[in-house]
Amino acid sequence: MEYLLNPEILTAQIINGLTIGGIYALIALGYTLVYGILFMINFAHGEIFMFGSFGGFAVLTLLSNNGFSTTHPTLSILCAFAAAILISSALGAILERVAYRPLRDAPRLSPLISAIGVSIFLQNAMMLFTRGRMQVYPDIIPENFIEIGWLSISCFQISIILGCLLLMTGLYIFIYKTKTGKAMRAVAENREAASLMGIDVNRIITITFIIGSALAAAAGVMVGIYYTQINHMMGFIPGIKAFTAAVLGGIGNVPGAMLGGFFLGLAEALGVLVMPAQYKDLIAFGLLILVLIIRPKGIMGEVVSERV
Amino acid sequence: MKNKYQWYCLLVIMSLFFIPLSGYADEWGFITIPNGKPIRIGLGSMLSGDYASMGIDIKNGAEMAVLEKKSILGHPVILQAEDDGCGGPTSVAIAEKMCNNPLLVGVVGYMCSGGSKPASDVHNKYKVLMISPSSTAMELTSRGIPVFFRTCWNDATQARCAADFVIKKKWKKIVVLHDKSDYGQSLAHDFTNHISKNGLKILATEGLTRGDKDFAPILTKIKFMRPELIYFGGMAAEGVLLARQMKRVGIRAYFMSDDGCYTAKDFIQAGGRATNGCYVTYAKKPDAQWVKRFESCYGPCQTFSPQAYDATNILLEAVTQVAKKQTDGSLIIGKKALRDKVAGIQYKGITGKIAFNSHGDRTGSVVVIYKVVEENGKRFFKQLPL
Repeated sequence: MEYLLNPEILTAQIINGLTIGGIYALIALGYTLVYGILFMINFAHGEIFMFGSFGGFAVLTLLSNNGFSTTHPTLSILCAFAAAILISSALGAILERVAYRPLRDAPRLSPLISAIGVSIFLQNAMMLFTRGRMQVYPDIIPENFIEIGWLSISCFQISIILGCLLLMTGLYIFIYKTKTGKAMRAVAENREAASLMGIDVNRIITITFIIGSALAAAAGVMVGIYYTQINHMMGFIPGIKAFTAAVLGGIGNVPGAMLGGFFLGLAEALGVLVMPAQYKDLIAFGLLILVLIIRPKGIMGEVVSERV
Repeated sequence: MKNKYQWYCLLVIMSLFFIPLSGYADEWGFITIPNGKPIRIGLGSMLSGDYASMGIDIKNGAEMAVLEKKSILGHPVILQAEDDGCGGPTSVAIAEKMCNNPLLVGVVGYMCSGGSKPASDVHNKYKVLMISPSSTAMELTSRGIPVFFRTCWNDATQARCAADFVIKKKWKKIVVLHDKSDYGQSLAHDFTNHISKNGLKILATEGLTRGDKDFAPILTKIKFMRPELIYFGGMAAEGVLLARQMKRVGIRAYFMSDDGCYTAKDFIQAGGRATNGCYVTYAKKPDAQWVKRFESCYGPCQTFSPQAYDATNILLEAVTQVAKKQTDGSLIIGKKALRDKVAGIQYKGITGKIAFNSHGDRTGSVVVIYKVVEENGKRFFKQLPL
């Protein structure tokens, strides 16, 4: 408990928690968007995140090998994000078309099994492609630290937190202020009625998959740059954690997924202070059970009636 | 007619008696390789998944030995590599598959202690030899399994080597981390034991999860204790992230880990400058000539390729000495004879002299300390003087 009373260690842990929480939240948004519209859990979402990370890795490695990244570091990183988003969005759209659309009217268990199958397929495809080796992101920008007394905060952490908030704000504006966003909400509310009103439901569903995948891709590149290490299994744990975050916040609810992500990240970081670190996952999943007992629909599950 | 049939029966029964007499007896039975059939050497390691890099290194080492040997008494030798997923049920399934192959003479493996342990029970049932290049858990050799041997060291040897070094360096404030696996925990435990026997205290012991990427929360907590050394029992994937993130949260302590982190690609290259000055315990450098040969075929020499190469060669050597060629061109190999040959072997391998004690452990200490250094723009593991 002595740690909890120390303001410096507390601040450091809050920043650690917000960094990983932001990443959980970005991935959780993909789960929640798809669930809101199709009522299915896209278990391949963690692999979409992994493919995004590899897309960014390929571009950054290429640019650092030909020396472009030393002269234009910021531009290279933007290129990596663009490539990752492109790859993941395409993958998301293809998955929807190939693995989920044929099963849209099947019993609810079928698309779930299909999703698990796709997830294992993508993991193994990437494993064969990379021969199971760990890949390492090149160091493009030097990591600077802001040191305040005992505290040392990485500028990467600040950028990740700000980047996540920026993307989430963008998503929020898109869903609540644009025409397509309105159509998405309408499809989530009632698919048949929406189609009677002249909304192209298939198009909206594809867009939803693309947006969810793009957010996961962004998270993938952030993870790559910050943690440097990627492999074909990297999507599994974050996928499960983000799913937990989405359920915590109330699955199908957009602000809920954001809140759930940050909540989970903070709980993990602060939990380490009161318990030995080996109980980190125990804290995260214990919280999930607790929240579900008290509020079965998640933290934000009933506050907002619209599901997207 | 009836008489002829009786004679025929008698002849068959007589010949049954004479087969073992004509060759030689073996209480565990024989492996018979028919004429023209290859001799199979099994290999069990993780060829896909999180630690596939290490598993592929082991496979490369074994493959090289098999390719160099080519054939024994006119029978070609081939390697049958199987992915045992580093443990548990898969290893048992693979062990059953290997042991039930009549052409298989023995297995190089398994890679992880968690896989070797259940697999060794299966191997003991069928009396099929196994020589692990990389399973270091203590209990593997303490359970009295006669068919288990290893060309690596055990955890206690390695942990003691690390602890002695720490005592010599007079580091007092020590934090121990492990990855909650059998392997990491047993190293952390042995290390702690040796340290406390010498009157030093461990500030804290914490576990982390394999496959996790974010260790900033644990390290922030550790930073508060102001340690001089962090000892980590685990693999390179997590070890390199710890070394990097230690620098990130601003811990100015030494980092020390085990053989799991002895990989140029996944530790030194992946860690960048953050790994400079890290200590790792690992075997003495293998024969330089061999390293050159290996690297020309498979790229940079990593982790357990040399141990796998030696394990395979010991198996091949024992088979060569024990196998008896029959008149019809087939080979007969006595299982007990093969086991006794390996148990008593005095082999000059590329990792040094190899002999086994009565438990199947390698005799003599083979573990030394390496430090990651940067000299003339190259970063590498440098062996510290003993």
